[in-house]
Amino acid sequence: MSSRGIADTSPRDSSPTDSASPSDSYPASPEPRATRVALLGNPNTGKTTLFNRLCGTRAKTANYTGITVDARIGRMRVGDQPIEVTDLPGCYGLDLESPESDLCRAVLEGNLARHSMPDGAVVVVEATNLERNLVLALEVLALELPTIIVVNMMDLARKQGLDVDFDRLSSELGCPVVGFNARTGEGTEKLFTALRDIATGELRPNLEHPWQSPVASAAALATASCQYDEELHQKHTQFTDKLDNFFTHRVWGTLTFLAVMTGLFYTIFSIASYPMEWIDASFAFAGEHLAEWITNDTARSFVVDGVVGGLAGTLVFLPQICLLFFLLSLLEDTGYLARAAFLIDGVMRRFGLPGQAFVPLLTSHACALPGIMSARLIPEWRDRLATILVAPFMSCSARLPVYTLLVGILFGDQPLYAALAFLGCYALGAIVALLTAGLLRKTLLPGRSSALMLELPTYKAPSLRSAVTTTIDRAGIFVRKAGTVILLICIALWALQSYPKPSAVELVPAILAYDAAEELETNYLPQAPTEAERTRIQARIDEELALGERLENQITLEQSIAGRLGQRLEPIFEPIGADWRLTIAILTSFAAREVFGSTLRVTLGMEAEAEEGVLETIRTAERDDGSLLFTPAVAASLLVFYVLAMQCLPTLAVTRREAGGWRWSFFQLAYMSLVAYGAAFITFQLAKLWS
Amino acid sequence: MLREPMIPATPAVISDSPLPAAFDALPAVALSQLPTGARAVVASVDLPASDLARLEALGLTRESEIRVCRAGKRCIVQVRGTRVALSSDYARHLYARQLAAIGA
Repeated sequence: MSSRGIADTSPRDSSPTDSASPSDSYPASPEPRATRVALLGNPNTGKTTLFNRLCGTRAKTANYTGITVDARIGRMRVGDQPIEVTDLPGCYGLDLESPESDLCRAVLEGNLARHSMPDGAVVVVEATNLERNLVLALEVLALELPTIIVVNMMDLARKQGLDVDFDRLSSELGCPVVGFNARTGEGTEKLFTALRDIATGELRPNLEHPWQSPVASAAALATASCQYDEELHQKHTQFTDKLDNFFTHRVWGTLTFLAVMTGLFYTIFSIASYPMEWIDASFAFAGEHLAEWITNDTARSFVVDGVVGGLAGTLVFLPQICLLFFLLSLLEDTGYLARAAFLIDGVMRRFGLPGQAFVPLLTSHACALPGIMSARLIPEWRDRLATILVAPFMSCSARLPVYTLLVGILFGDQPLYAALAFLGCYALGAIVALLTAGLLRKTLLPGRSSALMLELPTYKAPSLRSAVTTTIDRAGIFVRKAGTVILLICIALWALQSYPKPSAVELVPAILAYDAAEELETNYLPQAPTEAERTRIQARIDEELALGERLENQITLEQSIAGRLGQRLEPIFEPIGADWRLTIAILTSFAAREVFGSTLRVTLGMEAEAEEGVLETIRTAERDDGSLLFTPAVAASLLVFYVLAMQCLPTLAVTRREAGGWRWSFFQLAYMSLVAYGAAFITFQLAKLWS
Repeated sequence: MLREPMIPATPAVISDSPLPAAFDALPAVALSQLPTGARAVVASVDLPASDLARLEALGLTRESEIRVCRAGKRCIVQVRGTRVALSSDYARHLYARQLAAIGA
């Protein structure tokens, strides 16, 4: 076949006016109408790698009303002809009871509202597994669409001693069959030629499809068109058997699993911390400079605390999300993750979760956001939803500052007890998550976790290109879908904590401190007789200014809607040991639990960023009646509360995105808050009795 | 063009060895009871229709030939070039006749 007239397909060719709507999205320009092609294949056939090679990374997620599974739409050009490729989710057949299967059939038959049938289909099949993969190909051919069969992973097939007779297969199927290697691009030109034939109408659908039994016909076709080098094939099979036995072995497999997961976890924690610090520092730098430029107090507070603070709070999670998806994509590509799921399935299923749930749950120990996003590895919807709903119970890294503070108050000078308390926090979160999963499977999401029936993909070297594309894709979804919601709510929370502004009378204590500083600066500093005296006065000025700022922040927070709400809601949180200041800290840390400490410092009249002597000041802080604020019972109660409470706005937004609606987010928030409150109440009452 | 007669007659096994006529009379055992390395032909499946469709999608149909890659209550089998991991819920409800038992 010729390759004349075939242009490159780099992403720059993609139209910037791409739309998520596959059918009615073409701009009114002289450009010819885009040919619409559906891309299908079994899972693990390298379909998405092929899609990325054809369309680059500028794909958009298709928006099909009421459909929970994703399809992506990308654009490419063959010569002058634009082609719109819809990457459908991997499925094993068109008639199965699964959302993936339903979507594929609906797209191919043009049954979705406002979306007509595509102009053609490309079915990706795995060269080493033709017998099973061809079943889907035969089902697609039976729909009488112009169809191209792409036999992918030819490099692996050759390594395994397998040769495929494409001409024979093509003549039996009555459609073009292209040998392909999505990693190297081998076969691209032939595929382009076939795509151009669909665009020009030269490729007609095969109307003769005598395959009454796709399963048996696929077996016969595979046998007829494949030739094996028996010795090489045998060797490969034995090697795979050995690897499978090792990775699923009760002892060696478990040890390997622990090592791989520890490595994954450690890498995310250690490497992501650098870019996270850079992002934090960049926003702090930007905030400082913007604060200097903006003279209006309200505008400055809005921009610096609301917008910049909200953006920082969203983007700081990106490094962990990117790193996790990059590493997970590599691991999944190797074929190891499926073996790990098989190994761990027995344990997880006791709690109504499938084996694949271990990745989201483990990842949630770093951060619930990538954890929830990685739940997409779980094929069955109810299993996935149960995992998403319990993942935030796992102790994430944002809980660490709160644990450090409260455990420090409880066991500041007893390192062994402090270590056990930390361990207890992690254990409590994990146990409640698993028990909740079991409860959900008996109530809201009835039924056992779907039993494991999992294809174990061929072992192979991971594709960097695919990992990078997946990472960009997931990061984009996070920033676009979750980030915007998070930013908006951050701004709303900023407003609640900043308004209404206190009156001048209410600010008198702060004004007095500022006045004292001014007086020192005006009347005393210029007359200081010695340098030592001058330094002493300057130190006093700094102290008065800091005191004024602390008092201003404290009064502003107390007089704000959030502060007043805290005082009004004190009776609700009193049974778990909180006074009005702790109630304010709990309420303001609703968006992000890690701000508990800094809010507490503000309400106690300390500097929000102070580090030295903080623990001692908080430990000895008193309530309005003169009693100790943090008794052991209060600290233990709040510790349990923060182990189990949601207190993370980004998680709410990501749950909405991944679970398909706010109702699951609100359920998650309500359930976790109730469990946290109940457990904290029991802890407080028991601890009070004990002490 | 491929026509129906090309499709193997029942049982549609991958093996080239013809099965003896008395094959159907042999006792079928659950997949969870087959040893590692055993080759067998799926005889019957005692599972709901929705599970049957999933099994079929992975190539595990009645009369398909399998090889046990990892034996046990939860097992890994190879069928039609695909390795499939099955939990005990499936492995004990899929019955097969071992080919070695009849010298195939």
